[in-house]
Amino acid sequence: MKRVFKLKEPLNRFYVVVCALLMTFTLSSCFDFVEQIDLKPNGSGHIAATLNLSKSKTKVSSLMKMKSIKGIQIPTQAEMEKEIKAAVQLLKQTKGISNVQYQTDFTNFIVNISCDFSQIESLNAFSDILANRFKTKISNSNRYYYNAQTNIFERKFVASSNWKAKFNQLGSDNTTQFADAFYTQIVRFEKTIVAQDNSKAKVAGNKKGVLLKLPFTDLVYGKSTLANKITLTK
Amino acid sequence: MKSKILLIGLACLSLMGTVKSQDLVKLIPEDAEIIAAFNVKEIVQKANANKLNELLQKAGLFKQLEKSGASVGNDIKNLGIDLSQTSYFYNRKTDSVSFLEFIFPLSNKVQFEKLLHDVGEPKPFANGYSSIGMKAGSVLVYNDRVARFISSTMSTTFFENDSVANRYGIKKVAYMAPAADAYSPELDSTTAVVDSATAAVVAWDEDEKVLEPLSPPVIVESVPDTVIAQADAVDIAADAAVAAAEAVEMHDPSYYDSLYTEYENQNRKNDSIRNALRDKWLLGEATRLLSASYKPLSVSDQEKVLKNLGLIRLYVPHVEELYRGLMPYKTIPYLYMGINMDKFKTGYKDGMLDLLQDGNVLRLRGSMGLDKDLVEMSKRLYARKPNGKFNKYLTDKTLGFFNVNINSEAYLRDMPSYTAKYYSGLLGPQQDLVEWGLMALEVALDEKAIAQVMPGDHLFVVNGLRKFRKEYIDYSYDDDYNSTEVKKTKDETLPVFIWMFTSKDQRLFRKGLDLAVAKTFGKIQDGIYAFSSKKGLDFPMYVLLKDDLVMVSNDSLSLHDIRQNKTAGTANKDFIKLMKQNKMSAAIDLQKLPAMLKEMGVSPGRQWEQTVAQLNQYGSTAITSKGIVGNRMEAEISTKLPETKEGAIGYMIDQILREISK
Repeated sequence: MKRVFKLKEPLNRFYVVVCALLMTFTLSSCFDFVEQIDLKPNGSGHIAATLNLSKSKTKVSSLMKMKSIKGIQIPTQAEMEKEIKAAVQLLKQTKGISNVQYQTDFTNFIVNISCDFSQIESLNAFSDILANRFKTKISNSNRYYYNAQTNIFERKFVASSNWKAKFNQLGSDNTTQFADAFYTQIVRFEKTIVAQDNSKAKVAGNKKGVLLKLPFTDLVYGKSTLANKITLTK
Repeated sequence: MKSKILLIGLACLSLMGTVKSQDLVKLIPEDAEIIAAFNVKEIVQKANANKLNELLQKAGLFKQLEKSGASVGNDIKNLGIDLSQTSYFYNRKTDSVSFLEFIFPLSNKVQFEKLLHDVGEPKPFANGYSSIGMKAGSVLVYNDRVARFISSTMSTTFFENDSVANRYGIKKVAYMAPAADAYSPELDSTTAVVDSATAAVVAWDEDEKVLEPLSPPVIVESVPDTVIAQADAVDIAADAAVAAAEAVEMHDPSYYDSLYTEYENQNRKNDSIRNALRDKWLLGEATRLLSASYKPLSVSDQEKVLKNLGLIRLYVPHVEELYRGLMPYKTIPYLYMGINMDKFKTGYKDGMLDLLQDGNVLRLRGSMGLDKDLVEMSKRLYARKPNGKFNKYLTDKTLGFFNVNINSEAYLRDMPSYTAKYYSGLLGPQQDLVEWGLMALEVALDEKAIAQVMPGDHLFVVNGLRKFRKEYIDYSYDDDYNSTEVKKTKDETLPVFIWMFTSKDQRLFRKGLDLAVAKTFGKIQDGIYAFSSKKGLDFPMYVLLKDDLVMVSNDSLSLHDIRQNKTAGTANKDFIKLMKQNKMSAAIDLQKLPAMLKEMGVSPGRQWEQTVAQLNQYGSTAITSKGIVGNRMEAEISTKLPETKEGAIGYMIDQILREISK
């Protein structure tokens, strides 16, 4: 009988679908994540990370009027601000991190966090702390390295198979849904770039910057990678 | 486990139940709180017996029964339960215990007994009934014609009263109480308590006033909650030596172990007493019910349970009492606040909820009897029809709508006296002041003038989708990849809605809108007031005052069309009929939903995809209310399921079977 009760679920879903889908549209599927790093020859520098949901602001605002959808809790503006402040506080306490700034724009749904770092390892430490706080394994997928002697900046990145599985749960037409979602990484140096390894990255006109803009879906499905090895002049 | 499965099976089969149903309904006592009647014959007919057999077979019920020795041949007809009659469920509550009972007719006692083979040995009970003990606190009794499953649950608050707890030998104990104080030799024998319970004179009424004490109420007073609290109460300086010894003791883990053991022991004893009482009262209830020494449900209530019974009916004879029972105002803080439940009234009488099948339409119909004054007032409140001009906005493009018609003049006039009459008991010491305020409000408001501004008919309609140009922030990069923030635009497909209401005197709205325009909060274009969104999360809003209607929409083009009297589309006759026939109606055309979601770029998620795709086979889902019919308030929810030969229930079983087969 337990089985019967369990199987009534699809019928119940019918009513839930009607109510839930009419009230909201979907989880936000268009966004830009922009990461900009300015690296000095001694390995210190500045990083700014921006999450821009303004392309989906109608959907985000609709979502925020709900408490939850598809079983996912939707945070309120106050809760989001609290989380951001907590992350900023963590960032401030991270060894080697200073000058932490953040901005939130809940009209366009843009969040920007920036800071200075004394050495590249501080970024990894911060990444670890955040991953630990939000109970994700993202820090294992993404690491930064810089060797001031060899003048090589390296980013290692491994797409998790778990992302793909989670992403597939969202629906069969994800590629269309997330066609307008991008991850952009810009790394600027004081020295000139000699070489870089990522085939999808572009080198700036002044040879002092690398831009890598990738569709979010390519990252999830492992079609592209954020990994790169940039060699600078000595 | 087996008995649990069997019990659930029987409960389910009672939904599907050669005694006349009128006989069985008389088995329900008059003080039943909630009654459910299952028209088994109708359910089996509508669901199709073969499909039900298939469902129960796939759910493993028959297999379970066969394992326990019964030979049912995968057919519900072989269970010994009469599937041509009505089965019942009800609950009855007192301040100490609540009982529930399933009553289902039998067609073959021998077959039925075989189902119980694994549960236990039947024993003669009383009045020709046999009994089988089920799980703790429940019993199944049956004779040739009927089976009755009775269950009892103790009230969680009954023993919170110290005098009651003392009477039955229940001792309140806190975990951190010192072990020595927690010990009570009088309570050191559960057997003695149970024995005395059995020996006690019981008038087969569980009410605390008539039940004799079960054991001598020799109870040690409750001890302080914590040892620390106790230490605070004594003179620490004077008792330094004792305190030091206690401190040593408290740091000894075995001290806490002993506290926990005492706590657990006392809890076990308390549970034993409660369980013994529960079983005894259950036995008393069963005996009382079988000997028919109780007042059955009144004839008028019996009629209400059975008259025009569809598939299933839920009937509450006294909604107001049920409502009072659910309210928290009986506790001391509320009494202190002066809240008087005796003065609290709702005006609600009996309540009814029916599950009905009408071809491929499944309906849940509810109604509630109201007292005379409330009926009269409700009639006045709902004495309004929707504006005839609303009709042309319900078209073939309409995804859904919500319409409500209230007589705002009557509402403003009657609401103060209604609140004073029915809810004054909840106002406490502020009652007079609030009543005075309500009277002042009644005098101050010019109902007739307000009724001209907003008589009370409203229509909210979602008429398809439209592309809206939205601004967003993007980034551009120079040759050296320095980024700059730029504004761009994109088209978003969103639903178009219009909210409209009648207003014969639009001066107030016009003046307010003009003022907003003068203050540059908005602008007026071609007779339409436009207010741009300040925040990204809000739509721009447009307001049109036309004829005797005020219209608010997120779509200026729709309002422009309306202003120029352009036809929006072919009339949606079903929706118009629904709106005209009801005082309140809301409906959604599910067929349109999948295409609409797709056009909006909404992905329902993988687990919902199939469900959403199936919606295009459905018809409309509607919530309606005709307001007052006779002396009852009526409302209904209906869903038009896909057209099949078997109808709505058959379709639902098909869906379950399909899921099982996956």
